[in-house]
Amino acid sequence: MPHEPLSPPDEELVRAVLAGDPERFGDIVERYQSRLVNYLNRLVRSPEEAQDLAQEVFVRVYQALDRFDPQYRFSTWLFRVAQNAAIDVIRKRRIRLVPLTRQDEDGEGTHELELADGGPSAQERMEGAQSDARVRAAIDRLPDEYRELICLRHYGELAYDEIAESRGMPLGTVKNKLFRARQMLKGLLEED
Amino acid sequence: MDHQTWREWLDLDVDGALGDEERRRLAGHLAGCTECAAERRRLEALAARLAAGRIALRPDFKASVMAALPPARWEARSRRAWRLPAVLLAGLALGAALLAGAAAADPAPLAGPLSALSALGEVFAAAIAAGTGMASASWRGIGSAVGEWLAASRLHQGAALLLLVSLNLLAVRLIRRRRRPAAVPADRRAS
Repeated sequence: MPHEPLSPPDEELVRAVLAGDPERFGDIVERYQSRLVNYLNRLVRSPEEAQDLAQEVFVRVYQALDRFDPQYRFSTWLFRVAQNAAIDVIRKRRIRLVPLTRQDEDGEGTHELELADGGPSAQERMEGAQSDARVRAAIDRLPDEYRELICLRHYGELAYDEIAESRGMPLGTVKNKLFRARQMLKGLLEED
Repeated sequence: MDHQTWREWLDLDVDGALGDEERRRLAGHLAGCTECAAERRRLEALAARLAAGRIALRPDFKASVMAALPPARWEARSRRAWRLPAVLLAGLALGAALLAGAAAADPAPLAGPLSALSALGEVFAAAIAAGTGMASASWRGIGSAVGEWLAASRLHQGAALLLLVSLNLLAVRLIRRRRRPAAVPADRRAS
Protein backbone atom coordinates (compact mmCIF):
# COMPACT_ATOMS: atom_id res chain seq x y z
CA MET A 1 0.00 0.00 0.00
CA PRO A 2 2.41 2.72 -1.11
CA HIS A 3 1.30 6.29 -0.52
CA GLU A 4 1.82 8.79 -3.32
CA PRO A 5 1.61 12.49 -2.43
CA LEU A 6 -1.99 13.56 -3.04
CA SER A 7 -2.59 16.14 -5.70
CA PRO A 8 -4.11 18.57 -4.99
CA PRO A 9 -3.40 18.17 -1.27
CA ASP A 10 -6.39 17.75 1.04
CA GLU A 11 -5.74 21.10 2.66
CA GLU A 12 -6.02 22.84 -0.71
CA LEU A 13 -9.36 21.15 -1.38
CA VAL A 14 -10.60 22.21 2.04
CA ARG A 15 -9.55 25.80 1.35
CA ALA A 16 -11.40 25.71 -1.98
CA VAL A 17 -14.58 24.42 -0.32
CA LEU A 18 -14.40 27.09 2.37
CA ALA A 19 -13.80 29.75 -0.28
CA GLY A 20 -17.17 28.96 -1.82
CA ASP A 21 -16.66 25.91 -4.06
CA PRO A 22 -18.63 23.13 -2.30
CA GLU A 23 -18.23 20.79 -5.29
CA ARG A 24 -14.58 20.31 -4.30
CA PHE A 25 -15.88 18.45 -1.26
CA GLY A 26 -16.88 15.77 -3.77
CA ASP A 27 -13.18 15.30 -4.54
CA ILE A 28 -12.51 14.76 -0.85
CA VAL A 29 -15.35 12.23 -0.64
CA GLU A 30 -14.03 10.37 -3.67
CA ARG A 31 -10.55 10.27 -2.20
CA TYR A 32 -11.60 8.78 1.14
CA GLN A 33 -14.94 7.02 0.61
CA SER A 34 -13.64 3.48 0.12
CA ARG A 35 -11.06 3.68 2.89
CA LEU A 36 -13.52 5.20 5.33
CA VAL A 37 -16.28 2.68 4.61
CA ASN A 38 -13.88 -0.27 4.97
CA TYR A 39 -12.44 1.13 8.18
CA LEU A 40 -15.93 1.65 9.62
CA ASN A 41 -17.03 -1.78 8.43
CA ARG A 42 -14.30 -3.30 10.59
CA LEU A 43 -15.48 -1.32 13.60
CA VAL A 44 -19.27 -1.67 13.30
CA ARG A 45 -19.20 -5.05 11.48
CA SER A 46 -22.04 -4.26 9.13
CA PRO A 47 -21.41 -3.18 5.53
CA GLU A 48 -24.76 -1.39 5.30
CA GLU A 49 -24.32 0.42 8.59
CA ALA A 50 -20.72 1.28 7.68
CA GLN A 51 -21.89 3.03 4.51
CA ASP A 52 -24.61 4.95 6.34
CA LEU A 53 -22.15 5.92 9.04
CA ALA A 54 -19.50 6.98 6.51
CA GLN A 55 -22.08 9.26 4.90
CA GLU A 56 -22.87 10.73 8.30
CA VAL A 57 -19.16 11.25 9.01
CA PHE A 58 -18.71 13.15 5.75
CA VAL A 59 -21.71 15.33 6.63
CA ARG A 60 -20.31 16.04 10.11
CA VAL A 61 -16.91 16.89 8.69
CA TYR A 62 -18.46 19.20 6.09
CA GLN A 63 -20.41 21.06 8.71
CA ALA A 64 -17.32 21.53 10.85
CA LEU A 65 -14.93 22.21 7.98
CA ASP A 66 -14.19 25.76 9.13
CA ARG A 67 -12.89 24.33 12.40
CA PHE A 68 -10.32 22.11 10.65
CA ASP A 69 -6.83 23.06 11.81
CA PRO A 70 -4.51 22.81 8.79
CA GLN A 71 -1.49 22.26 11.02
CA TYR A 72 -2.80 18.67 11.28
CA ARG A 73 -3.61 16.34 8.41
CA PHE A 74 -7.13 16.19 7.09
CA SER A 75 -6.99 12.38 6.97
CA THR A 76 -6.21 12.02 10.67
CA TRP A 77 -9.05 14.39 11.54
CA LEU A 78 -11.48 12.50 9.30
CA PHE A 79 -10.58 9.11 10.79
CA ARG A 80 -10.77 10.52 14.31
CA VAL A 81 -14.32 11.75 13.63
CA ALA A 82 -15.11 8.34 12.10
CA GLN A 83 -13.77 6.46 15.10
CA ASN A 84 -15.84 8.58 17.49
CA ALA A 85 -18.95 8.04 15.37
CA ALA A 86 -18.37 4.27 15.36
CA ILE A 87 -17.91 4.26 19.14
CA ASP A 88 -21.25 6.07 19.50
CA VAL A 89 -22.97 3.46 17.30
CA ILE A 90 -21.45 0.57 19.25
CA ARG A 91 -22.48 2.16 22.56
CA LYS A 92 -26.05 2.63 21.34
CA ARG A 93 -26.17 -1.00 20.26
CA ARG A 94 -25.15 -2.11 23.74
CA ILE A 95 -27.96 -0.04 25.22
CA ARG A 96 -30.43 -1.76 22.88
CA LEU A 97 -29.48 -5.25 24.12
CA VAL A 98 -32.46 -7.30 25.29
CA PRO A 99 -32.60 -10.07 27.89
CA LEU A 100 -31.95 -13.53 26.46
CA THR A 101 -34.79 -15.13 28.42
CA ARG A 102 -38.52 -14.71 27.90
CA GLN A 103 -41.44 -15.72 30.12
CA ASP A 104 -43.31 -18.89 29.09
CA GLU A 105 -46.86 -18.50 27.82
CA ASP A 106 -48.25 -20.09 31.00
CA GLY A 107 -46.34 -17.44 32.99
CA GLU A 108 -44.73 -20.03 35.24
CA GLY A 109 -41.22 -20.16 33.87
CA THR A 110 -38.80 -18.70 31.43
CA HIS A 111 -37.09 -20.05 28.35
CA GLU A 112 -33.99 -18.94 26.53
CA LEU A 113 -34.38 -17.20 23.20
CA GLU A 114 -32.73 -18.90 20.28
CA LEU A 115 -30.40 -16.40 18.66
CA ALA A 116 -27.89 -16.62 15.90
CA ASP A 117 -24.45 -17.33 17.32
CA GLY A 118 -22.86 -14.28 15.67
CA GLY A 119 -20.71 -16.57 13.57
CA PRO A 120 -20.83 -16.75 9.82
CA SER A 121 -24.34 -16.47 8.35
CA ALA A 122 -25.64 -18.83 5.66
CA GLN A 123 -24.33 -16.52 3.00
CA GLU A 124 -21.00 -16.24 4.72
CA ARG A 125 -20.55 -20.00 4.59
CA MET A 126 -19.08 -19.61 1.18
CA GLU A 127 -15.37 -20.14 1.20
CA GLY A 128 -14.31 -16.51 0.81
CA ALA A 129 -16.69 -15.30 3.45
CA GLN A 130 -15.51 -18.00 5.84
CA SER A 131 -11.97 -16.88 5.40
CA ASP A 132 -13.00 -13.29 6.07
CA ALA A 133 -14.91 -14.35 9.17
CA ARG A 134 -11.77 -16.08 10.47
CA VAL A 135 -9.70 -12.96 9.80
CA ARG A 136 -12.33 -10.85 11.57
CA ALA A 137 -12.38 -13.20 14.53
CA ALA A 138 -8.57 -13.13 14.71
CA ILE A 139 -8.55 -9.32 14.58
CA ASP A 140 -11.11 -9.29 17.40
CA ARG A 141 -8.76 -11.35 19.55
CA LEU A 142 -5.96 -8.81 19.24
CA PRO A 143 -5.35 -6.35 22.10
CA ASP A 144 -7.34 -3.12 21.56
CA GLU A 145 -4.35 -1.05 20.55
CA TYR A 146 -3.11 -3.60 18.00
CA ARG A 147 -6.61 -4.04 16.58
CA GLU A 148 -6.97 -0.29 16.12
CA LEU A 149 -3.60 -0.03 14.38
CA ILE A 150 -4.43 -2.93 12.03
CA CYS A 151 -7.77 -1.32 11.13
CA LEU A 152 -6.22 2.09 10.49
CA ARG A 153 -3.43 0.62 8.36
CA HIS A 154 -5.15 -2.17 6.43
CA TYR A 155 -8.71 -0.83 6.11
CA GLY A 156 -8.29 2.94 6.56
CA GLU A 157 -5.05 2.71 4.54
CA LEU A 158 -3.46 5.47 6.58
CA ALA A 159 0.28 5.89 6.12
CA TYR A 160 2.53 5.16 9.08
CA ASP A 161 3.14 8.85 9.75
CA GLU A 162 -0.60 9.58 9.57
CA ILE A 163 -1.23 6.85 12.14
CA ALA A 164 1.55 8.28 14.31
CA GLU A 165 -0.11 11.72 14.20
CA SER A 166 -3.56 10.29 14.74
CA ARG A 167 -2.51 8.19 17.75
CA GLY A 168 0.01 10.67 19.15
CA MET A 169 2.77 8.04 18.93
CA PRO A 170 6.35 8.29 17.63
CA LEU A 171 6.73 6.82 14.13
CA GLY A 172 9.09 4.10 15.38
CA THR A 173 6.52 2.99 17.94
CA VAL A 174 3.84 2.69 15.24
CA LYS A 175 6.15 0.53 13.10
CA ASN A 176 7.06 -1.64 16.04
CA LYS A 177 3.49 -2.11 17.25
CA LEU A 178 2.21 -2.87 13.75
CA PHE A 179 4.97 -5.46 13.35
CA ARG A 180 3.93 -7.11 16.61
CA ALA A 181 0.24 -6.87 15.71
CA ARG A 182 0.80 -8.61 12.37
CA GLN A 183 2.97 -11.28 13.98
CA MET A 184 0.22 -11.96 16.50
CA LEU A 185 -2.47 -11.95 13.81
CA LYS A 186 -0.46 -14.35 11.67
CA GLY A 187 -0.05 -16.64 14.65
CA LEU A 188 -3.78 -16.57 15.44
CA LEU A 189 -4.72 -17.40 11.85
CA GLU A 190 -2.19 -20.22 11.69
CA GLU A 191 -3.71 -21.72 14.85
CA ASP A 192 -7.01 -22.30 12.97
CA MET B 1 22.34 -8.16 11.19
CA ASP B 2 20.12 -10.49 13.28
CA HIS B 3 16.98 -12.22 12.06
CA GLN B 4 14.73 -10.06 14.20
CA THR B 5 15.75 -6.98 12.22
CA TRP B 6 15.37 -8.84 8.89
CA ARG B 7 11.85 -9.81 9.95
CA GLU B 8 10.97 -6.24 10.85
CA TRP B 9 12.25 -5.17 7.43
CA LEU B 10 10.27 -7.97 5.77
CA ASP B 11 7.14 -6.79 7.52
CA LEU B 12 7.66 -3.22 6.35
CA ASP B 13 8.56 -4.35 2.83
CA VAL B 14 5.41 -6.43 2.39
CA ASP B 15 3.46 -3.41 3.66
CA GLY B 16 5.17 -1.16 1.09
CA ALA B 17 6.89 0.94 3.75
CA LEU B 18 10.57 0.00 3.41
CA GLY B 19 13.12 2.42 1.94
CA ASP B 20 14.90 1.67 -1.35
CA GLU B 21 18.32 0.99 0.18
CA GLU B 22 16.93 -1.36 2.83
CA ARG B 23 14.89 -3.15 0.19
CA ARG B 24 18.01 -3.83 -1.89
CA ARG B 25 19.80 -5.23 1.16
CA LEU B 26 16.79 -7.33 2.08
CA ALA B 27 16.59 -8.80 -1.44
CA GLY B 28 20.22 -9.86 -1.12
CA HIS B 29 19.48 -11.55 2.19
CA LEU B 30 16.35 -13.30 0.90
CA ALA B 31 18.31 -14.84 -1.96
CA GLY B 32 20.26 -16.93 0.53
CA CYS B 33 17.85 -17.38 3.47
CA THR B 34 15.05 -19.90 2.99
CA GLU B 35 13.63 -19.15 6.46
CA CYS B 36 13.12 -15.46 5.68
CA ALA B 37 11.80 -16.29 2.19
CA ALA B 38 9.16 -18.52 3.80
CA GLU B 39 8.32 -15.78 6.30
CA ARG B 40 7.86 -13.37 3.42
CA ARG B 41 5.35 -15.74 1.78
CA ARG B 42 3.42 -16.00 5.06
CA LEU B 43 3.31 -12.20 5.40
CA GLU B 44 2.13 -11.83 1.80
CA ALA B 45 -0.62 -14.38 2.43
CA LEU B 46 -1.68 -12.41 5.53
CA ALA B 47 -1.78 -9.14 3.57
CA ALA B 48 -3.88 -10.83 0.86
CA ARG B 49 -6.35 -12.17 3.44
CA LEU B 50 -6.70 -8.74 5.03
CA ALA B 51 -7.26 -7.13 1.62
CA ALA B 52 -9.84 -9.77 0.65
CA GLY B 53 -12.15 -8.57 3.40
CA ARG B 54 -12.65 -5.19 1.78
CA ILE B 55 -16.20 -4.33 0.77
CA ALA B 56 -17.46 -2.54 -2.35
CA LEU B 57 -19.17 0.83 -2.10
CA ARG B 58 -22.73 1.51 -3.19
CA PRO B 59 -22.51 2.89 -6.73
CA ASP B 60 -24.25 6.11 -5.71
CA PHE B 61 -22.32 6.63 -2.49
CA LYS B 62 -20.64 9.91 -3.44
CA ALA B 63 -23.81 11.33 -4.98
CA SER B 64 -25.81 10.51 -1.87
CA VAL B 65 -23.20 12.17 0.36
CA MET B 66 -23.23 15.31 -1.77
CA ALA B 67 -27.03 15.37 -1.78
CA ALA B 68 -27.12 14.98 2.00
CA LEU B 69 -24.84 17.93 2.76
CA PRO B 70 -26.90 20.45 4.70
CA PRO B 71 -26.06 24.15 4.62
CA ALA B 72 -23.15 24.69 6.99
CA ARG B 73 -22.90 27.80 9.14
CA TRP B 74 -19.59 28.71 7.60
CA GLU B 75 -21.17 28.83 4.12
CA ALA B 76 -22.89 32.14 4.94
CA ARG B 77 -19.47 33.62 5.51
CA SER B 78 -17.95 32.30 2.29
CA ARG B 79 -17.09 34.52 -0.64
CA ARG B 80 -19.96 33.16 -2.70
CA ALA B 81 -22.43 34.51 -0.18
CA TRP B 82 -21.04 38.00 -0.75
CA ARG B 83 -20.92 37.75 -4.54
CA LEU B 84 -24.55 38.59 -5.34
CA PRO B 85 -24.84 41.54 -2.94
CA ALA B 86 -21.55 42.89 -4.27
CA VAL B 87 -22.81 42.67 -7.87
CA LEU B 88 -26.10 44.31 -6.89
CA LEU B 89 -24.29 47.07 -5.06
CA ALA B 90 -22.03 47.70 -8.04
CA GLY B 91 -25.07 47.76 -10.35
CA LEU B 92 -26.91 50.23 -8.16
CA ALA B 93 -23.85 52.46 -7.89
CA LEU B 94 -23.43 52.40 -11.67
CA GLY B 95 -27.10 53.25 -12.19
CA ALA B 96 -26.89 56.15 -9.73
CA ALA B 97 -23.74 57.45 -11.41
CA LEU B 98 -25.37 57.30 -14.86
CA LEU B 99 -28.47 59.05 -13.55
CA ALA B 100 -26.43 61.78 -11.91
CA GLY B 101 -24.31 62.22 -15.05
CA ALA B 102 -27.37 62.49 -17.30
CA ALA B 103 -29.00 65.00 -14.98
CA ALA B 104 -25.89 67.15 -14.92
CA ALA B 105 -25.59 67.09 -18.72
CA ASP B 106 -29.22 67.85 -19.55
CA PRO B 107 -31.66 68.16 -16.67
CA ALA B 108 -34.75 68.64 -18.85
CA PRO B 109 -35.36 65.11 -20.24
CA LEU B 110 -35.04 63.56 -16.82
CA ALA B 111 -37.14 66.15 -15.04
CA GLY B 112 -40.00 63.68 -14.42
CA PRO B 113 -38.02 60.82 -12.92
CA LEU B 114 -35.73 63.24 -11.14
CA SER B 115 -38.60 65.08 -9.48
CA ALA B 116 -40.01 61.74 -8.29
CA LEU B 117 -36.59 60.79 -7.01
CA SER B 118 -36.28 64.22 -5.44
CA ALA B 119 -39.61 63.81 -3.63
CA LEU B 120 -38.53 60.38 -2.41
CA GLY B 121 -35.24 61.88 -1.29
CA GLU B 122 -37.04 64.61 0.68
CA VAL B 123 -39.20 62.05 2.46
CA PHE B 124 -36.11 60.00 3.18
CA ALA B 125 -34.22 63.09 4.36
CA ALA B 126 -37.09 64.03 6.66
CA ALA B 127 -37.13 60.55 8.15
CA ILE B 128 -33.39 60.55 8.55
CA ALA B 129 -33.47 64.06 10.00
CA ALA B 130 -36.13 62.98 12.51
CA GLY B 131 -34.04 59.94 13.39
CA THR B 132 -30.86 61.88 13.68
CA GLY B 133 -32.69 64.49 15.72
CA MET B 134 -33.52 61.81 18.24
CA ALA B 135 -30.06 60.35 18.05
CA SER B 136 -28.57 63.75 18.62
CA ALA B 137 -29.99 63.70 22.15
CA SER B 138 -27.39 61.15 23.00
CA TRP B 139 -24.99 61.38 20.10
CA ARG B 140 -25.36 65.04 19.55
CA GLY B 141 -22.15 65.56 17.66
CA ILE B 142 -22.47 62.56 15.33
CA GLY B 143 -26.19 63.01 14.81
CA SER B 144 -25.93 66.62 13.83
CA ALA B 145 -22.98 65.90 11.58
CA VAL B 146 -24.93 63.16 9.76
CA GLY B 147 -27.99 65.37 9.59
CA GLU B 148 -25.99 68.23 8.15
CA TRP B 149 -24.31 65.92 5.69
CA LEU B 150 -27.64 64.58 4.49
CA ALA B 151 -29.22 68.01 4.31
CA ALA B 152 -26.27 69.36 2.35
CA SER B 153 -27.22 67.84 -1.03
CA ARG B 154 -29.50 65.37 -2.78
CA LEU B 155 -26.47 63.40 -3.83
CA HIS B 156 -25.80 62.62 -0.18
CA GLN B 157 -29.40 61.55 0.29
CA GLY B 158 -29.18 59.34 -2.80
CA ALA B 159 -26.00 57.75 -1.52
CA ALA B 160 -27.62 57.06 1.86
CA LEU B 161 -30.66 55.55 0.13
CA LEU B 162 -28.39 53.36 -2.00
CA LEU B 163 -26.56 52.17 1.09
CA LEU B 164 -29.81 51.35 2.85
CA VAL B 165 -31.14 49.32 -0.12
CA SER B 166 -27.85 47.44 -0.46
CA LEU B 167 -27.77 46.56 3.23
CA ASN B 168 -31.30 45.21 2.97
CA LEU B 169 -30.41 43.06 -0.04
CA LEU B 170 -27.36 41.77 1.78
CA ALA B 171 -29.44 40.88 4.83
CA VAL B 172 -31.97 39.00 2.67
CA ARG B 173 -29.15 37.10 0.96
CA LEU B 174 -27.53 36.11 4.23
CA ILE B 175 -30.77 35.03 5.82
CA ARG B 176 -31.80 32.84 2.86
CA ARG B 177 -30.30 29.40 3.20
CA ARG B 178 -29.57 27.02 0.40
CA ARG B 179 -31.82 23.96 0.63
CA ARG B 180 -30.75 20.49 -0.52
CA PRO B 181 -32.66 17.21 -0.44
CA ALA B 182 -31.76 15.14 2.60
CA ALA B 183 -30.57 11.59 2.02
CA VAL B 184 -29.56 10.86 5.59
CA PRO B 185 -32.39 9.69 7.85
CA ALA B 186 -33.29 12.33 10.40
CA ASP B 187 -32.29 10.18 13.36
CA ARG B 188 -28.81 9.69 11.93
CA ARG B 189 -28.09 13.36 11.27
CA ALA B 190 -25.01 14.82 12.92
CA SER B 191 -25.84 16.74 16.01
